[in-house]
Amino acid sequence: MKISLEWLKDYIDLSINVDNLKDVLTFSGIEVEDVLNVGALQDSIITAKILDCQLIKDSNHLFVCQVDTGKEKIQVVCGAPNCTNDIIGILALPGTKLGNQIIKTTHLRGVESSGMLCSEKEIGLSDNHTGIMVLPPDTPVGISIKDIIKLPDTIFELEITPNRPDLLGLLGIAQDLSASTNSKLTSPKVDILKTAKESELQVTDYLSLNNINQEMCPRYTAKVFRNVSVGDSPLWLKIRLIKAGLRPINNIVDITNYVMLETGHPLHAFDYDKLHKTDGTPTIVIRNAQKDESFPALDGKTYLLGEDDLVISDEVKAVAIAGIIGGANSHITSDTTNIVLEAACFNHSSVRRTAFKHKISTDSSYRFERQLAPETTKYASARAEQLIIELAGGIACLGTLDDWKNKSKPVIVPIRPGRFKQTIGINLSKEQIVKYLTKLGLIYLGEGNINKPYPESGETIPKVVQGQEESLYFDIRPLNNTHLHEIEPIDEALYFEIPPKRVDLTREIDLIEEVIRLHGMDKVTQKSKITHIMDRHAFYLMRKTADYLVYNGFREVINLSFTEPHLVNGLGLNNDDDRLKQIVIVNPQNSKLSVMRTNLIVQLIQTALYNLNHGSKQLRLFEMNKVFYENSALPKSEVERLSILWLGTSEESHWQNQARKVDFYAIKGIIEGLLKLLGISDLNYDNHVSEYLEELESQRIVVGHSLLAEYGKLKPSIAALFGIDIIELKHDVWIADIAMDILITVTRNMTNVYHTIPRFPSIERDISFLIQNGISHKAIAECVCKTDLESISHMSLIDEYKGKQIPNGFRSLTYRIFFNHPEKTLTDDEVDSIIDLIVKTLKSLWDIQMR
Amino acid sequence: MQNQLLELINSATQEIAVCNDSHELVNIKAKYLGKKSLLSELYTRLKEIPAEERPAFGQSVNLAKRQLEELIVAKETALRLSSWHKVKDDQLDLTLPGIVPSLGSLHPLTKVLREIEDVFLSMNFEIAEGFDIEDEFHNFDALNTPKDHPSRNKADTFYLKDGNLLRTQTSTVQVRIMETYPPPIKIVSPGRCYRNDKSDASHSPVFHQVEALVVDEGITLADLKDTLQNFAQILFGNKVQTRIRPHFFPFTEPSAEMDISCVMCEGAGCKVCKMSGWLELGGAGMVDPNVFDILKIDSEKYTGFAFGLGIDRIAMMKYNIPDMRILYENDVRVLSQFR
Ligand SMILES: [Zn+2]
Repeated sequence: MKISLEWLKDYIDLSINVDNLKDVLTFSGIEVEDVLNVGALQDSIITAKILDCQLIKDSNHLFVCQVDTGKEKIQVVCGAPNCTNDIIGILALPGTKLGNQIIKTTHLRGVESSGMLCSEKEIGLSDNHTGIMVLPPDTPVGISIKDIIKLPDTIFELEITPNRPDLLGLLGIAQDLSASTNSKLTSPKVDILKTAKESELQVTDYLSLNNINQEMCPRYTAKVFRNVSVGDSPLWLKIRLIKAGLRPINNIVDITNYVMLETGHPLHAFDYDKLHKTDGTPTIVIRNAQKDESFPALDGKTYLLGEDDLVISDEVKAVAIAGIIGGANSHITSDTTNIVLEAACFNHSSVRRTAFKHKISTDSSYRFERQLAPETTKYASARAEQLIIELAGGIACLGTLDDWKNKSKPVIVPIRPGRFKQTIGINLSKEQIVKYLTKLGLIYLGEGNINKPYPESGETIPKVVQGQEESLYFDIRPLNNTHLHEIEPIDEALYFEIPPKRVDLTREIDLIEEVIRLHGMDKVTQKSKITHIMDRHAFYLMRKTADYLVYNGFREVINLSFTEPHLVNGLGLNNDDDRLKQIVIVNPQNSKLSVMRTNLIVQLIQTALYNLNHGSKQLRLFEMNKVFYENSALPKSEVERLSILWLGTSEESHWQNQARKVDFYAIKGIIEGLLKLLGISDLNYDNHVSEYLEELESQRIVVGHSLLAEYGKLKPSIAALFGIDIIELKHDVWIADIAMDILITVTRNMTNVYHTIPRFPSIERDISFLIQNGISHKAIAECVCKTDLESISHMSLIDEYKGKQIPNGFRSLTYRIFFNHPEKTLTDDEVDSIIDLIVKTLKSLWDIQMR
Repeated sequence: MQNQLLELINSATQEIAVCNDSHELVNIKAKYLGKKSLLSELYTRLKEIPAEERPAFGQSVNLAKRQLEELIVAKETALRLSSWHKVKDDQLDLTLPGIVPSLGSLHPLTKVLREIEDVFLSMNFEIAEGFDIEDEFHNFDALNTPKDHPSRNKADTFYLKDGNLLRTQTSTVQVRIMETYPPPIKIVSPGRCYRNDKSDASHSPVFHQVEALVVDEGITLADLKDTLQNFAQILFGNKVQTRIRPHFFPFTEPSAEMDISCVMCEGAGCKVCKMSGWLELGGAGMVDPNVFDILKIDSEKYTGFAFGLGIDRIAMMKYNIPDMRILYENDVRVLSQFR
């Protein structure tokens, strides 16, 4: 639903800006789908009269127009089909900025054009671009257009939830805003008594009513107007309809639409003289359609109706599908002089069923489908009467035909402030609750035992509706003591009578919702909060690491934090190694438990020895725990560490094949797999490993200046020192040692986000090189990838070969290179030329030959 | 000629049926269906038969051709599939073991610790870590421990050269958190503790505890009982009962010992619970206002509870491990029992 802010302000004193208004609407539950700011127009957009309009030679759609700007006559070329003599249009003079274009004096088909005649779309009023906008003939020429069409303005496109039919008109929105912003309502005063009184004609002399289906049509009212003049609506009314997305048709139809937009209640007007008359006065019959009754509708289509469709008809033919669409046989035309104005209420499910069945959706059906109250017809009808007499002249017949048999009782709903607190979690005073709800139009009846103060049973209790003094033109549900006596009084409860249009409010919880909606859900405070003490990243990273090792066959061990002082010396570490700075316990239990451990490796080797002595042949062990160094201040004297010990085979041996022994690439792979799992790439490797590792078969990974991990073969001499005889065991001992604190730091702010997958197929090529010893895989891989960063997506080593056919001092490396260009499918030729380049580069750099 | 055709179909069908090799099948195809095949020869001899019989015979030749083509295609497919599956004479022995990837194991202490952490995480607790090496303030003073309290003795507590000590309880984390963060606080802190106890079946100089601390407005002893009962039932099953009974700790008032019904005999009485039906779980209580005062937390506004559990003891209960030393021996024959 489109709402013009300029129009809305007719009904409410709003003193907040557009952005705030958007928030207020959103947070009171009215979703704003779009806000369209229709900007101020420049003064160089003026009204102008087309004096003469001729087709340009050689063109079948361009006109050359002589236009009167009030000051001068200028020539403008226009392509609009509705361009013609003697109409007043909107002219943008040269120099005007319209949207992104600046109007200039140009030549079209050799004809000079000094300006542009504008459509509604071009001045930002609507999406209509079918022709130029035509203004009423009495519009003064040469004046700025912005005042006439009330710009700037803001159009809000609102999504009204199905439970709120009361918001389907501007008055409803205004009422809700008055409650949420505490603003004053300024509803239009309906004052037409005078006009009606002057009329001597009685409606009953002209029309009768016969409602056959009370259930599908709970209320039907009709008024008759005589001698109206059907014609164009005034510009202000047209502009408002256009801003709301409707097309102006004629003053009578426009008034029914205008009142619908204002009140939310659809009306229908039809030509009185098209109604069938049997004996003098026609009768309107509200009945079900006959089987296969054909109905010519206003939209130009003919519908084949069924017995469950409700129609409005005269005694012969249907003139409307109730609440959905009028008939082509009775609509208002320029010849119409006498009209019937219908204001009725139709059953929402019946309207929905018929509209769905015949695939018709109109502004009227949209509203009726959402359940309107029969009480709202009276105001809508009175408001339309006022406008018809004001804008179309004519005489209103006295009285209204009104068929309304089953009137509803007043709906009275209690709300307990204590229950509000219990449900919402915050306290509101009685006064606050009463204020919010009465602003919404609810009538406050009192607190607790409200059936006391009115002793005389049967007498209607007077009441005041906020913003609308009780008037002849509102239907209210009379309230008397009988109604009050039906209530079982609850102490502490505040009682409210619900206005008829709020069909959604029937229970206490509905009122609680209304109050918090208006008060603002943002005012509900958070009850308990998380203090973010926990380092979730570190916590889950350590779990993930341990899980990874477990699923790769490693068993976790847990050793005491105490150890024997001299054991660490067995690792042969450098004198300045932190691991030699053991923290000494002053009062140890015994010398074997007299220092804090500085590493996990020593105990891991001891654990391995224990298990080898107890018959194990294969060991995959790890410990993740704290180690402690002397001489550093808290908290740095204790850090998390992970150490791995591996001996035996690199995979589980089984009956199909014999497993390989653990080697350097196995222990390296375990570490690389972990880092890959954690998302770490671009690593720096070197071989400055700790002294207990075999230099030529070990490696370390450095991140920045920090050692992240080292791994490799435990020196057999050191293994021997701890009691493990490598020769006898026939296995080497492989160790990895990882600084968990560094691992946690480098992964802390890592993100894991989606990357678009390549759109074009990938091509792979295998290529073997004969490489002199001393040139590393890494050097070759980097060189290959750099050859064409765009086309080479990645490469992998698939074979290393030394042996027959390979000369001494050489090896053969075979790579699989994956080509993938982000913007095209690579051809074989393109891939070949990249490979040529790779071969040439490797040849020139290191004299590497392709095999 | 009709006979010739039938013969041809028979022999072709037979040859295709016994063919076991794709090369051979190509030859068969050439022999019967190729340009110079027996079948095309029949076509060329069509004029030899009477004109009125020709259409019918022509049709049966066509039919035969189509049948043979279908047979050959079917055989081709069968041969391709069989080479893919490497069907040999011998059947798979489906009872041979599958190739199982290597599986390791978490230490039973880690398993129990993770379960405990997860129970508390699910109750909206946060996990807070502390230091193993602590000072007297955080281990004793801030926890309202009198200067002459026996737990400060060197016979009970390990001291370091610089006067620091190895924490004797994870309650030190309470202190560090309350020093740093204003209430509300809802944490558990697992970690290592050190006491000068000789290693035996139920003691170790290094052991593991988990400490829970909740500080907020309106926290009562009932919240402590709630948390304890929920924790015990999630960890040990919903038949488990809990109870607290008065005790003394310097930093809680009132203080209590927490018991759970024996997980072995379900409270009936057995050797494990020394016929009492109850097992001791740890110490608990309401945070002593003195502790709040020391840490400058408004003890009028806030109340809190704390409890500490021995992880080693819980692991032993849960896995029926009779001797605490087994936990630190790291015998893979033991470790491999935990999945
Ligand atoms: Zn027992």
